Amino acid sequence: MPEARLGGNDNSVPTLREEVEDFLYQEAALLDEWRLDEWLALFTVDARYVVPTTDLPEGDPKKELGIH
Amino acid sequence: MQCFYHAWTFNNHGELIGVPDEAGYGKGFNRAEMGLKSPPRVDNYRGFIFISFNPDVEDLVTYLAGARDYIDLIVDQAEEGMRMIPGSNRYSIKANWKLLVENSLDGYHVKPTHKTYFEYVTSLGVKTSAVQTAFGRPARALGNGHAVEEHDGVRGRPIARWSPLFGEETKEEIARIRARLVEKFGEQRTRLMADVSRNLLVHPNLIIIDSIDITVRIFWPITPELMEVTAWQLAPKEEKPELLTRRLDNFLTFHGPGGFATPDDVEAIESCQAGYKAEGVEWSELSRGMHREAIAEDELQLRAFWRQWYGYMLGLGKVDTKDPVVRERSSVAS
Repeated sequence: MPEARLGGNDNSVPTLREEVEDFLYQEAALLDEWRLDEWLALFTVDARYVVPTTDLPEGDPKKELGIH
Repeated sequence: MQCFYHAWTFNNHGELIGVPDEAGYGKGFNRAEMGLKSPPRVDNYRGFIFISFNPDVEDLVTYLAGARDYIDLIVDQAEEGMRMIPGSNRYSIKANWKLLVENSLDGYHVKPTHKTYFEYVTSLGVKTSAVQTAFGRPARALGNGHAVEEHDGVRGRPIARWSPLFGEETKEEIARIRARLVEKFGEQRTRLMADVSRNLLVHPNLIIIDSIDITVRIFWPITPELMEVTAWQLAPKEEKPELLTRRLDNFLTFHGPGGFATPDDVEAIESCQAGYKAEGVEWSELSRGMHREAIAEDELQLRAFWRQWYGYMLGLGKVDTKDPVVRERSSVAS
């Protein structure tokens, strides 16, 4: 993995932000294409996936209702 | 609260308390006459608020009939009263709203439709045999179209039946809650409150599922083929954080829109809707349990709902929703 830098301007090496953006686009594309097994493989075993409710977007899933 | 349209502000009693640029109105403008209009009838039973647009409707307790006892059984589980947990689940189902009434009261579909869930529970250490004998309690028509089906709460209940799914850290607290219930209500009623789970219909569109969590669900028809559902979680005000977390997890695991059960149910009733639309079949078969004392896996509770709905549709008002006495045909009995 290249050295993590924010806002770097060396075009030959992706910055951390570019890597994160690429990852998020890739994740969304997997969901859009319904490639769910590949999507699931992006997560570590101990990952927590939290989806808050639309009427309580900052909700704490330990004490408030979420969606997932 | 403020109306988004012209920013008039009203207080919790519906009185108009703020009007931008009020000088633009003449002397005849009287705030007291411009408050929010109350529905003709509003009543409250143990924290559940009901409104009716029929000014001549019967009082709420009379309307609730036998469903009242079951609301008591649920609300009495709390020491300091129940509260709605912040946050609501809203989703739509491409099916007629009555199919969700059926689904919410139907014990017969649970094992085949939610097989994945039971496999998951079994993998977590709950005995499959316990899950398979989970049902079998009588189902009841409660008058006015209300109905209930009950089953043993073998999967555990936050109030108050511990199961391995709840984790060791909740064991002592659940035992304490149970002891308090016994002290207040006696052994027999405690068993009903703490060991038995139930799906209750308050006719026509309020469902309370008192089980591994307490789900309160209402649903509204948008078109004949589309409904919108809102679900909340009810919990005692005094519930300890670890038990509340467990309750919310139980809800999301089973009853949540991304849980093991609800997506299966949605798929099933949307498939039913598509099937009915094909118009090849005039009747839905709902005769389970007419020849015996009906249990949760029978359909007495569905028939009670439908009879009252049909009574309203025919303009008959309240009708008898009980099953007629049906004698088993000798050819079947032998």
